[in-house]
Amino acid sequence: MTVSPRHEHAALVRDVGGSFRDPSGRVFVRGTEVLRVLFHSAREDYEHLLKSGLYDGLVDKGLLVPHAEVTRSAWELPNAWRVLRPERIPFISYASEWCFSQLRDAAVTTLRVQREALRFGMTLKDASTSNIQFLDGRAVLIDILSLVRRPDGPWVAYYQFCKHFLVPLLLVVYGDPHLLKLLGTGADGIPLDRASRLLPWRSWLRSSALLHVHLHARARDSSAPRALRKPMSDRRMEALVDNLTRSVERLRWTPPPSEWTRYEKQQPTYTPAAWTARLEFVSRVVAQTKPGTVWDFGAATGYVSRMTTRHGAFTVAFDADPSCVELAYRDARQEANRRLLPLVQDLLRPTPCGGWAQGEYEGLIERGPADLVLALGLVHHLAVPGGIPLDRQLEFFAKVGRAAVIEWVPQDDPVVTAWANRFRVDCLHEPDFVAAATRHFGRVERHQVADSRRALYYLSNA
Amino acid sequence: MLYITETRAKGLHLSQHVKTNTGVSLSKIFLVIGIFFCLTLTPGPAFAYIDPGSGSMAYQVLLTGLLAGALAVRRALTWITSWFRTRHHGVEMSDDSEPSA
Repeated sequence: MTVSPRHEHAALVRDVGGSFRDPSGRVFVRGTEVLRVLFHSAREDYEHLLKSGLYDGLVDKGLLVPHAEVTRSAWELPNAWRVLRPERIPFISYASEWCFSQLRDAAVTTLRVQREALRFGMTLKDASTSNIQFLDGRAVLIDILSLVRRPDGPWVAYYQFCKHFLVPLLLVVYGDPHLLKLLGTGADGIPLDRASRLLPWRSWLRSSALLHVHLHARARDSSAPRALRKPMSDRRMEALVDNLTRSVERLRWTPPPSEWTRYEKQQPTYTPAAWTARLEFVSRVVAQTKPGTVWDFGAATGYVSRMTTRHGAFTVAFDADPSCVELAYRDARQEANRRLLPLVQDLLRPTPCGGWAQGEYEGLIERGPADLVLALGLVHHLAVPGGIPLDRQLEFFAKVGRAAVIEWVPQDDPVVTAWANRFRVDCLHEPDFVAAATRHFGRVERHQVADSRRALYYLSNA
Repeated sequence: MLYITETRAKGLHLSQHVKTNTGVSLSKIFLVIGIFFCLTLTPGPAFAYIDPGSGSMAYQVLLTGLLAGALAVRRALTWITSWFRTRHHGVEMSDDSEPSA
Protein backbone atom coordinates (compact mmCIF):
# COMPACT_ATOMS: atom_id res chain seq x y z
CA MET A 1 0.00 0.00 0.00
CA THR A 2 1.26 3.47 -0.86
CA VAL A 3 1.00 6.10 1.82
CA SER A 4 0.58 9.60 0.46
CA PRO A 5 -0.20 11.96 3.32
CA ARG A 6 -0.74 15.55 2.26
CA HIS A 7 0.72 16.60 5.53
CA GLU A 8 3.99 18.47 5.55
CA HIS A 9 5.54 15.79 7.77
CA ALA A 10 4.99 13.22 5.03
CA ALA A 11 8.64 12.33 4.85
CA LEU A 12 8.64 11.30 8.50
CA VAL A 13 5.88 8.73 8.09
CA ARG A 14 6.83 5.08 8.20
CA ASP A 15 4.69 2.05 8.77
CA VAL A 16 5.33 -0.10 11.79
CA GLY A 17 6.60 -3.54 10.86
CA GLY A 18 4.24 -6.25 12.19
CA SER A 19 1.04 -4.25 11.77
CA PHE A 20 0.51 -5.45 8.16
CA ARG A 21 -0.61 -8.88 9.35
CA ASP A 22 -4.01 -7.62 10.51
CA PRO A 23 -6.20 -6.86 7.48
CA SER A 24 -8.33 -4.40 9.51
CA GLY A 25 -5.75 -1.62 9.77
CA ARG A 26 -2.15 -0.47 9.94
CA VAL A 27 0.10 1.41 12.32
CA PHE A 28 2.29 4.31 11.24
CA VAL A 29 4.82 6.48 12.99
CA ARG A 30 4.83 10.20 12.15
CA GLY A 31 7.60 12.06 13.91
CA THR A 32 7.17 11.19 17.57
CA GLU A 33 3.53 10.10 17.36
CA VAL A 34 2.07 6.70 16.62
CA LEU A 35 -1.03 6.58 14.40
CA ARG A 36 -3.34 3.62 13.94
CA VAL A 37 -5.32 3.66 10.71
CA LEU A 38 -8.57 1.68 10.75
CA PHE A 39 -9.85 0.35 7.44
CA HIS A 40 -13.55 0.26 6.51
CA SER A 41 -13.65 -3.44 7.40
CA ALA A 42 -13.06 -2.50 11.07
CA ARG A 43 -15.92 -0.01 11.24
CA GLU A 44 -18.66 -2.11 12.84
CA ASP A 45 -16.38 -3.65 15.44
CA TYR A 46 -14.90 -0.28 16.40
CA GLU A 47 -18.31 1.36 16.66
CA HIS A 48 -19.58 -1.48 18.83
CA LEU A 49 -16.50 -1.17 21.04
CA LEU A 50 -17.21 2.50 21.68
CA LYS A 51 -21.02 2.41 21.87
CA SER A 52 -21.17 -0.65 24.11
CA GLY A 53 -19.03 1.07 26.76
CA LEU A 54 -16.33 -1.59 26.58
CA TYR A 55 -13.66 0.89 25.47
CA ASP A 56 -14.31 3.21 28.42
CA GLY A 57 -14.45 0.28 30.83
CA LEU A 58 -11.11 -1.13 29.67
CA VAL A 59 -9.39 2.25 29.74
CA ASP A 60 -10.78 3.01 33.22
CA LYS A 61 -9.44 -0.31 34.49
CA GLY A 62 -6.01 0.37 32.96
CA LEU A 63 -6.27 -2.62 30.62
CA LEU A 64 -6.27 -0.79 27.27
CA VAL A 65 -4.07 2.01 25.98
CA PRO A 66 -6.25 5.11 25.49
CA HIS A 67 -6.40 6.90 22.14
CA ALA A 68 -7.66 10.10 20.53
CA GLU A 69 -9.23 10.30 17.07
CA VAL A 70 -7.30 12.32 14.51
CA THR A 71 -8.85 14.23 11.62
CA ARG A 72 -8.60 12.11 8.51
CA SER A 73 -7.86 15.07 6.26
CA ALA A 74 -4.18 14.68 6.93
CA TRP A 75 -4.26 11.26 5.36
CA GLU A 76 -4.92 9.80 1.97
CA LEU A 77 -5.15 6.07 2.28
CA PRO A 78 -7.31 4.00 -0.05
CA ASN A 79 -9.06 2.01 2.68
CA ALA A 80 -8.73 4.41 5.59
CA TRP A 81 -11.86 4.99 7.64
CA ARG A 82 -10.53 6.40 10.92
CA VAL A 83 -7.14 7.47 12.22
CA LEU A 84 -6.40 7.05 15.93
CA ARG A 85 -3.54 8.39 17.98
CA PRO A 86 -2.94 5.99 20.90
CA GLU A 87 -0.93 7.14 23.89
CA ARG A 88 2.70 6.53 23.08
CA ILE A 89 4.44 3.58 24.69
CA PRO A 90 7.81 4.91 25.92
CA PHE A 91 9.70 1.72 25.04
CA ILE A 92 8.44 -1.19 22.97
CA SER A 93 9.55 -4.46 24.56
CA TYR A 94 9.17 -8.08 23.52
CA ALA A 95 8.22 -11.18 25.47
CA SER A 96 11.73 -12.63 25.07
CA GLU A 97 12.96 -9.61 27.07
CA TRP A 98 10.42 -9.94 29.88
CA CYS A 99 10.90 -11.68 33.19
CA PHE A 100 8.47 -14.26 34.56
CA SER A 101 6.22 -11.78 36.40
CA GLN A 102 6.04 -9.45 33.41
CA LEU A 103 4.87 -12.31 31.19
CA ARG A 104 2.38 -13.43 33.85
CA ASP A 105 1.00 -9.88 34.21
CA ALA A 106 0.71 -9.66 30.41
CA ALA A 107 -1.21 -12.96 30.40
CA VAL A 108 -3.56 -11.79 33.15
CA THR A 109 -4.20 -8.53 31.28
CA THR A 110 -5.07 -10.48 28.13
CA LEU A 111 -7.52 -12.68 30.06
CA ARG A 112 -9.08 -9.76 31.94
CA VAL A 113 -9.65 -7.97 28.62
CA GLN A 114 -11.23 -11.12 27.20
CA ARG A 115 -13.47 -11.50 30.28
CA GLU A 116 -14.64 -7.87 30.00
CA ALA A 117 -15.10 -8.22 26.24
CA LEU A 118 -17.40 -11.22 26.71
CA ARG A 119 -19.70 -9.12 28.90
CA PHE A 120 -20.13 -6.67 26.02
CA GLY A 121 -20.59 -9.24 23.27
CA MET A 122 -17.00 -8.94 22.02
CA THR A 123 -13.88 -11.11 22.01
CA LEU A 124 -10.17 -10.98 21.31
CA LYS A 125 -9.50 -12.32 17.82
CA ASP A 126 -5.86 -12.90 18.69
CA ALA A 127 -3.91 -13.28 21.95
CA SER A 128 -0.31 -12.57 21.03
CA THR A 129 2.36 -11.25 23.38
CA SER A 130 2.94 -8.52 20.76
CA ASN A 131 -0.46 -7.04 21.67
CA ILE A 132 0.70 -6.23 25.19
CA GLN A 133 3.12 -3.49 26.24
CA PHE A 134 4.07 -1.83 29.51
CA LEU A 135 2.69 1.65 30.12
CA ASP A 136 3.10 3.39 33.48
CA GLY A 137 4.41 0.15 34.95
CA ARG A 138 1.32 -1.87 33.93
CA ALA A 139 0.72 -4.42 31.18
CA VAL A 140 -1.85 -2.98 28.75
CA LEU A 141 -3.45 -4.09 25.50
CA ILE A 142 -2.25 -1.87 22.66
CA ASP A 143 -4.05 -3.47 19.72
CA ILE A 144 -7.58 -2.11 19.65
CA LEU A 145 -8.27 -4.00 16.42
CA SER A 146 -7.98 -7.28 18.30
CA LEU A 147 -11.39 -6.58 19.83
CA VAL A 148 -14.18 -7.78 17.55
CA ARG A 149 -17.85 -8.66 17.96
CA ARG A 150 -18.04 -12.19 19.24
CA PRO A 151 -19.05 -14.88 16.75
CA ASP A 152 -20.99 -17.89 18.01
CA GLY A 153 -18.08 -20.31 17.90
CA PRO A 154 -15.23 -21.05 20.33
CA TRP A 155 -12.45 -18.57 21.17
CA VAL A 156 -10.21 -18.49 18.08
CA ALA A 157 -7.26 -17.21 20.11
CA TYR A 158 -7.30 -20.01 22.70
CA TYR A 159 -4.48 -21.98 21.08
CA GLN A 160 -2.45 -18.80 20.54
CA PHE A 161 -2.90 -17.76 24.17
CA CYS A 162 -1.61 -21.13 25.35
CA LYS A 163 1.48 -21.09 23.17
CA HIS A 164 2.31 -17.40 23.76
CA PHE A 165 1.66 -17.17 27.49
CA LEU A 166 0.86 -20.35 29.39
CA VAL A 167 3.55 -22.58 27.87
CA PRO A 168 6.47 -20.15 28.41
CA LEU A 169 5.34 -19.56 32.00
CA LEU A 170 5.19 -23.30 32.67
CA LEU A 171 8.63 -23.75 31.12
CA VAL A 172 10.03 -21.25 33.62
CA VAL A 173 8.22 -22.88 36.55
CA TYR A 174 9.43 -26.37 35.62
CA GLY A 175 12.66 -25.47 33.83
CA ASP A 176 14.70 -22.32 33.56
CA PRO A 177 13.96 -18.59 33.15
CA HIS A 178 16.31 -18.45 30.16
CA LEU A 179 13.77 -20.59 28.26
CA LEU A 180 11.78 -17.37 27.69
CA LYS A 181 14.39 -16.71 25.02
CA LEU A 182 12.55 -19.34 22.99
CA LEU A 183 10.08 -16.50 22.43
CA GLY A 184 12.82 -14.74 20.42
CA THR A 185 11.86 -11.69 18.39
CA GLY A 186 8.93 -12.53 16.19
CA ALA A 187 8.52 -16.12 17.36
CA ASP A 188 4.90 -17.19 17.25
CA GLY A 189 4.93 -18.67 20.73
CA ILE A 190 6.08 -22.19 21.57
CA PRO A 191 4.05 -24.93 19.86
CA LEU A 192 2.16 -27.10 22.32
CA ASP A 193 3.51 -30.41 21.03
CA ARG A 194 7.05 -29.18 21.54
CA ALA A 195 6.18 -27.81 24.98
CA SER A 196 4.55 -31.09 25.94
CA ARG A 197 7.80 -32.90 25.13
CA LEU A 198 9.90 -30.32 27.01
CA LEU A 199 7.84 -30.27 30.21
CA PRO A 200 8.68 -32.93 32.82
CA TRP A 201 6.27 -35.78 33.62
CA ARG A 202 5.27 -34.19 36.94
CA SER A 203 3.68 -31.33 34.99
CA TRP A 204 0.96 -33.84 34.03
CA LEU A 205 -0.15 -33.64 37.66
CA ARG A 206 -0.86 -29.90 37.36
CA SER A 207 -4.35 -29.39 35.99
CA SER A 208 -3.47 -26.30 33.95
CA ALA A 209 -0.58 -28.06 32.18
CA LEU A 210 -2.63 -31.23 31.71
CA LEU A 211 -5.73 -29.53 30.27
CA HIS A 212 -4.26 -26.63 28.32
CA VAL A 213 -0.94 -28.08 27.14
CA HIS A 214 -0.58 -31.89 27.20
CA LEU A 215 -4.11 -32.92 26.20
CA HIS A 216 -4.57 -29.80 24.08
CA ALA A 217 -1.39 -30.64 22.12
CA ARG A 218 -2.75 -34.09 21.31
CA ALA A 219 -6.10 -32.74 20.16
CA ARG A 220 -4.52 -29.96 18.11
CA ASP A 221 -3.89 -31.99 14.97
CA SER A 222 -7.22 -33.76 14.85
CA SER A 223 -9.67 -32.75 12.18
CA ALA A 224 -13.03 -31.36 13.28
CA PRO A 225 -13.57 -28.23 11.21
CA ARG A 226 -17.22 -27.85 12.15
CA ALA A 227 -16.08 -27.01 15.67
CA LEU A 228 -15.01 -23.62 14.35
CA ARG A 229 -18.66 -22.72 13.87
CA LYS A 230 -20.17 -24.66 16.72
CA PRO A 231 -22.09 -22.23 18.95
CA MET A 232 -20.68 -21.80 22.40
CA SER A 233 -22.58 -20.23 25.28
CA ASP A 234 -21.25 -17.27 27.26
CA ARG A 235 -21.22 -19.49 30.34
CA ARG A 236 -18.84 -21.95 28.70
CA MET A 237 -16.60 -19.19 27.39
CA GLU A 238 -16.45 -17.54 30.80
CA ALA A 239 -15.62 -20.89 32.42
CA LEU A 240 -12.66 -21.25 30.06
CA VAL A 241 -11.34 -17.74 30.66
CA ASP A 242 -11.80 -18.05 34.42
CA ASN A 243 -9.99 -21.38 34.45
CA LEU A 244 -7.11 -19.93 32.43
CA THR A 245 -6.93 -16.91 34.74
CA ARG A 246 -6.77 -19.12 37.83
CA SER A 247 -4.17 -21.30 36.14
CA VAL A 248 -1.94 -18.35 35.32
CA GLU A 249 -2.33 -16.60 38.68
CA ARG A 250 -1.39 -19.77 40.56
CA LEU A 251 1.95 -20.07 38.78
CA ARG A 252 4.82 -19.10 41.05
CA TRP A 253 8.53 -18.78 40.41
CA THR A 254 11.21 -17.92 42.95
CA PRO A 255 14.24 -16.30 41.31
CA PRO A 256 17.39 -18.15 42.40
CA PRO A 257 19.92 -15.85 44.09
CA SER A 258 22.99 -14.94 42.07
CA GLU A 259 26.09 -12.80 42.41
CA TRP A 260 24.16 -9.95 40.82
CA THR A 261 20.97 -10.22 42.87
CA ARG A 262 23.16 -9.74 45.97
CA TYR A 263 25.17 -6.89 44.38
CA GLU A 264 23.02 -4.02 45.66
CA LYS A 265 22.99 -5.30 49.23
CA GLN A 266 26.63 -6.39 49.48
CA GLN A 267 28.13 -3.57 47.38
CA PRO A 268 31.29 -5.59 46.61
CA THR A 269 34.55 -3.98 45.45
CA TYR A 270 33.45 -0.56 46.75
CA THR A 271 33.88 1.16 50.06
CA PRO A 272 30.72 2.87 51.31
CA ALA A 273 32.24 6.23 50.34
CA ALA A 274 33.01 5.06 46.79
CA TRP A 275 29.51 3.57 46.39
CA THR A 276 27.92 6.84 47.49
CA ALA A 277 30.23 8.89 45.26
CA ARG A 278 29.20 6.90 42.18
CA LEU A 279 25.50 7.36 42.86
CA GLU A 280 25.94 11.05 43.63
CA PHE A 281 27.79 11.63 40.35
CA VAL A 282 25.06 9.94 38.29
CA SER A 283 22.41 11.83 40.25
CA ARG A 284 24.16 15.11 39.49
CA VAL A 285 24.42 14.34 35.76
CA VAL A 286 20.74 13.40 35.55
CA ALA A 287 19.69 16.49 37.53
CA GLN A 288 21.72 18.77 35.27
CA THR A 289 21.01 17.22 31.85
CA LYS A 290 17.37 16.21 32.56
CA PRO A 291 17.23 13.23 30.15
CA GLY A 292 13.76 12.06 29.11
CA THR A 293 14.91 8.48 28.66
CA VAL A 294 17.73 6.58 30.35
CA TRP A 295 19.00 3.12 29.41
CA ASP A 296 20.85 1.53 32.31
CA PHE A 297 22.99 -1.37 31.07
CA GLY A 298 24.07 -3.94 33.63
CA ALA A 299 21.45 -2.54 35.99
CA ALA A 300 21.39 -5.57 38.35
CA THR A 301 18.36 -5.09 40.62
CA GLY A 302 17.96 -1.48 39.47
CA TYR A 303 19.59 0.46 42.30
CA VAL A 304 20.77 3.25 39.94
CA SER A 305 17.68 3.09 37.72
CA ARG A 306 15.36 3.76 40.65
CA MET A 307 17.38 6.88 41.41
CA THR A 308 17.14 8.17 37.81
CA THR A 309 13.35 7.64 37.81
CA ARG A 310 13.14 9.82 40.91
CA HIS A 311 14.59 12.60 38.74
CA GLY A 312 11.70 12.10 36.32
CA ALA A 313 13.52 10.09 33.64
CA PHE A 314 11.81 7.07 32.10
CA THR A 315 14.42 4.37 32.66
CA VAL A 316 14.89 0.98 31.05
CA ALA A 317 16.97 -1.20 33.38
CA PHE A 318 18.69 -3.89 31.29
CA ASP A 319 20.39 -6.91 32.80
CA ALA A 320 21.32 -10.33 31.44
CA ASP A 321 20.29 -12.08 34.68
CA PRO A 322 16.53 -12.91 34.71
CA SER A 323 16.61 -13.12 38.53
CA CYS A 324 17.78 -9.49 38.74
CA VAL A 325 15.10 -8.35 36.30
CA GLU A 326 12.44 -10.27 38.22
CA LEU A 327 13.43 -8.63 41.51
CA ALA A 328 13.64 -5.17 39.90
CA TYR A 329 10.18 -5.60 38.35
CA ARG A 330 8.60 -6.83 41.60
CA ASP A 331 10.16 -3.91 43.42
CA ALA A 332 8.95 -1.39 40.81
CA ARG A 333 5.43 -2.84 40.98
CA GLN A 334 5.39 -2.73 44.78
CA GLU A 335 6.57 0.87 44.80
CA ALA A 336 4.17 1.72 41.94
CA ASN A 337 7.14 3.13 40.03
CA ARG A 338 5.59 4.15 36.69
CA ARG A 339 8.88 5.19 35.10
CA LEU A 340 10.91 2.00 35.47
CA LEU A 341 10.93 -0.84 32.95
CA PRO A 342 13.34 -3.68 33.82
CA LEU A 343 14.16 -5.97 30.89
CA VAL A 344 16.37 -8.98 30.23
CA GLN A 345 19.07 -8.06 27.76
CA ASP A 346 22.42 -9.73 27.18
CA LEU A 347 24.56 -6.97 25.71
CA LEU A 348 26.90 -9.51 24.13
CA ARG A 349 23.91 -10.76 22.13
CA PRO A 350 21.39 -7.92 22.07
CA THR A 351 17.88 -8.42 20.69
CA PRO A 352 18.11 -8.49 16.87
CA CYS A 353 15.52 -7.32 14.34
CA GLY A 354 13.04 -10.07 13.57
CA GLY A 355 9.93 -11.28 11.84
CA TRP A 356 9.13 -11.08 8.13
CA ALA A 357 12.08 -9.65 6.17
CA GLN A 358 13.55 -8.71 9.57
CA GLY A 359 11.22 -5.73 9.58
CA GLU A 360 8.40 -6.69 11.91
CA TYR A 361 10.24 -6.31 15.19
CA GLU A 362 12.97 -3.82 15.99
CA GLY A 363 16.32 -4.76 17.45
CA LEU A 364 17.74 -2.96 20.46
CA ILE A 365 19.66 -0.32 18.47
CA GLU A 366 16.61 0.48 16.32
CA ARG A 367 14.62 1.35 19.45
CA GLY A 368 17.12 4.05 20.47
CA PRO A 369 18.75 6.37 20.96
CA ALA A 370 18.18 7.12 24.62
CA ASP A 371 19.00 10.55 26.00
CA LEU A 372 21.43 9.01 28.46
CA VAL A 373 23.11 5.61 28.65
CA LEU A 374 24.55 4.27 31.90
CA ALA A 375 27.23 1.58 31.94
CA LEU A 376 28.47 1.29 35.52
CA GLY A 377 30.84 -1.54 36.37
CA LEU A 378 30.28 -3.03 32.92
CA VAL A 379 33.04 -2.09 30.47
CA HIS A 380 35.62 -4.46 32.01
CA HIS A 381 33.14 -7.37 31.80
CA LEU A 382 32.51 -6.65 28.13
CA ALA A 383 36.22 -6.18 27.37
CA VAL A 384 37.82 -9.07 29.24
CA PRO A 385 35.53 -12.13 29.44
CA GLY A 386 33.31 -10.71 26.68
CA GLY A 387 36.18 -9.96 24.30
CA ILE A 388 34.62 -6.74 22.94
CA PRO A 389 37.33 -4.15 22.10
CA LEU A 390 36.94 -0.75 23.78
CA ASP A 391 36.49 1.03 20.45
CA ARG A 392 33.57 -1.28 19.53
CA GLN A 393 32.00 -0.70 22.92
CA LEU A 394 32.15 3.08 22.59
CA GLU A 395 30.83 2.86 19.03
CA PHE A 396 27.80 0.92 20.35
CA PHE A 397 27.16 3.27 23.27
CA ALA A 398 27.27 6.26 20.89
CA LYS A 399 24.70 4.54 18.66
CA VAL A 400 22.21 3.85 21.45
CA GLY A 401 22.70 7.04 23.49
CA ARG A 402 23.12 10.76 22.92
CA ALA A 403 25.16 10.91 26.12
CA ALA A 404 26.63 8.32 28.45
CA VAL A 405 28.06 7.81 31.92
CA ILE A 406 30.58 4.99 31.73
CA GLU A 407 32.62 3.64 34.60
CA TRP A 408 36.27 2.96 33.85
CA VAL A 409 37.82 -0.01 35.66
CA PRO A 410 41.66 -0.20 35.46
CA GLN A 411 43.81 -3.30 35.01
CA ASP A 412 44.89 -3.29 38.65
CA ASP A 413 41.32 -3.38 39.95
CA PRO A 414 40.82 -6.44 42.21
CA VAL A 415 38.08 -7.83 39.95
CA VAL A 416 40.33 -7.61 36.89
CA THR A 417 43.43 -9.02 38.58
CA ALA A 418 41.35 -12.04 39.65
CA TRP A 419 40.75 -12.72 35.94
CA ALA A 420 44.43 -12.34 35.00
CA ASN A 421 45.23 -16.07 35.13
CA ARG A 422 42.37 -16.89 32.72
CA PHE A 423 42.12 -13.90 30.35
CA ARG A 424 44.28 -11.25 28.75
CA VAL A 425 43.57 -8.07 30.68
CA ASP A 426 45.99 -5.71 28.93
CA CYS A 427 43.12 -4.55 26.71
CA LEU A 428 42.02 -2.33 29.60
CA HIS A 429 44.21 0.62 28.66
CA GLU A 430 42.74 3.97 29.72
CA PRO A 431 44.32 6.12 26.94
CA ASP A 432 42.72 3.78 24.38
CA PHE A 433 39.37 4.21 26.15
CA VAL A 434 39.68 8.02 26.09
CA ALA A 435 40.68 8.01 22.40
CA ALA A 436 37.68 5.84 21.48
CA ALA A 437 35.35 7.98 23.61
CA THR A 438 36.57 11.15 21.91
CA ARG A 439 36.17 9.55 18.48
CA HIS A 440 32.58 8.42 19.02
CA PHE A 441 31.18 11.10 21.36
CA GLY A 442 33.26 14.26 21.15
CA ARG A 443 32.91 15.64 24.66
CA VAL A 444 34.74 13.63 27.34
CA GLU A 445 34.86 14.48 31.05
CA ARG A 446 36.66 12.37 33.66
CA HIS A 447 35.67 12.21 37.33
CA GLN A 448 37.70 10.14 39.77
CA VAL A 449 35.54 8.06 42.12
CA ALA A 450 36.39 8.94 45.72
CA ASP A 451 38.10 6.18 47.71
CA SER A 452 38.48 4.00 44.59
CA ARG A 453 40.78 3.47 41.60
CA ARG A 454 37.77 3.49 39.31
CA ALA A 455 36.68 6.59 37.35
CA LEU A 456 33.42 7.80 35.85
CA TYR A 457 33.35 9.35 32.39
CA TYR A 458 30.60 11.64 31.17
CA LEU A 459 30.45 11.48 27.38
CA SER A 460 28.17 13.46 25.11
CA ASN A 461 27.70 14.52 21.53
CA ALA A 462 27.27 18.16 22.51
CA MET B 1 -3.39 -12.12 5.65
CA LEU B 2 -4.08 -15.72 6.39
CA TYR B 3 -7.35 -17.47 5.63
CA ILE B 4 -7.95 -20.90 7.06
CA THR B 5 -10.45 -22.70 4.91
CA GLU B 6 -10.00 -26.32 5.87
CA THR B 7 -7.56 -28.50 7.72
CA ARG B 8 -6.45 -31.89 6.61
CA ALA B 9 -8.05 -35.01 7.95
CA LYS B 10 -5.60 -37.08 9.92
CA GLY B 11 -7.76 -40.06 10.80
CA LEU B 12 -6.28 -42.19 13.51
CA HIS B 13 -3.15 -40.12 13.90
CA LEU B 14 -4.50 -38.67 17.14
CA SER B 15 -4.92 -41.95 18.95
CA GLN B 16 -1.61 -43.31 17.67
CA HIS B 17 0.21 -40.27 18.99
CA VAL B 18 -1.30 -40.55 22.44
CA LYS B 19 -0.58 -44.23 22.64
CA THR B 20 3.07 -43.68 21.94
CA ASN B 21 3.41 -41.07 24.67
CA THR B 22 1.05 -41.82 27.45
CA GLY B 23 -0.21 -45.35 27.31
CA VAL B 24 -3.28 -47.25 26.25
CA SER B 25 -5.95 -45.91 28.59
CA LEU B 26 -5.49 -42.30 27.55
CA SER B 27 -5.38 -43.17 23.88
CA LYS B 28 -8.69 -44.98 24.25
CA ILE B 29 -10.27 -41.88 25.74
CA PHE B 30 -9.08 -39.78 22.83
CA LEU B 31 -10.11 -42.40 20.34
CA VAL B 32 -13.64 -42.17 21.71
CA ILE B 33 -13.52 -38.37 21.64
CA GLY B 34 -12.14 -38.44 18.08
CA ILE B 35 -14.84 -40.84 16.90
CA PHE B 36 -17.47 -38.66 18.60
CA PHE B 37 -16.35 -35.60 16.68
CA CYS B 38 -15.94 -37.49 13.40
CA LEU B 39 -19.49 -38.76 13.73
CA THR B 40 -21.16 -35.58 14.91
CA LEU B 41 -19.30 -32.90 13.01
CA THR B 42 -19.21 -32.37 9.29
CA PRO B 43 -16.68 -30.23 7.41
CA GLY B 44 -17.44 -26.56 6.73
CA PRO B 45 -15.47 -23.44 5.83
CA ALA B 46 -13.87 -21.33 8.55
CA PHE B 47 -12.15 -17.96 8.31
CA ALA B 48 -9.73 -16.53 10.83
CA TYR B 49 -6.95 -13.96 11.05
CA ILE B 50 -4.75 -16.42 12.96
CA ASP B 51 -4.69 -20.20 12.76
CA PRO B 52 -7.03 -21.34 15.52
CA GLY B 53 -6.46 -25.04 14.74
CA SER B 54 -9.66 -26.96 14.15
CA GLY B 55 -8.54 -29.72 16.51
CA SER B 56 -7.87 -27.10 19.16
CA MET B 57 -11.35 -25.63 18.62
CA ALA B 58 -12.98 -29.04 18.92
CA TYR B 59 -11.00 -29.67 22.08
CA GLN B 60 -12.15 -26.30 23.39
CA VAL B 61 -15.79 -27.28 22.84
CA LEU B 62 -15.21 -30.41 24.92
CA LEU B 63 -13.12 -28.67 27.58
CA THR B 64 -15.51 -25.76 28.11
CA GLY B 65 -18.34 -28.26 28.47
CA LEU B 66 -16.39 -30.01 31.23
CA LEU B 67 -15.37 -26.76 32.92
CA ALA B 68 -18.88 -25.31 32.78
CA GLY B 69 -20.26 -28.64 34.06
CA ALA B 70 -17.74 -28.71 36.90
CA LEU B 71 -18.69 -25.13 37.75
CA ALA B 72 -22.38 -26.02 37.80
CA VAL B 73 -21.72 -29.03 40.05
CA ARG B 74 -19.61 -26.89 42.41
CA ARG B 75 -22.33 -24.24 42.58
CA ALA B 76 -24.96 -26.92 43.23
CA LEU B 77 -22.83 -28.44 46.00
CA THR B 78 -22.31 -25.01 47.52
CA TRP B 79 -26.06 -24.38 47.43
CA ILE B 80 -26.85 -27.78 48.95
CA THR B 81 -24.19 -27.35 51.64
CA SER B 82 -25.43 -23.90 52.53
CA TRP B 83 -29.03 -25.19 52.58
CA PHE B 84 -28.10 -27.97 55.00
CA ARG B 85 -26.02 -25.59 57.07
CA THR B 86 -28.88 -23.13 57.34
CA ARG B 87 -31.27 -25.92 58.23
CA HIS B 88 -28.85 -27.39 60.78
CA HIS B 89 -28.23 -23.93 62.15
CA GLY B 90 -31.98 -23.40 62.38
CA VAL B 91 -32.40 -26.69 64.29
CA GLU B 92 -29.60 -25.74 66.67
CA MET B 93 -31.15 -22.37 67.25
CA SER B 94 -34.57 -23.89 67.92
CA ASP B 95 -32.91 -26.38 70.34
CA ASP B 96 -31.26 -23.49 72.11
CA SER B 97 -34.48 -21.59 72.26
CA GLU B 98 -36.25 -24.43 74.04
CA PRO B 99 -36.82 -23.67 77.70
CA SER B 100 -34.87 -25.93 80.03
CA ALA B 101 -36.81 -28.29 82.17
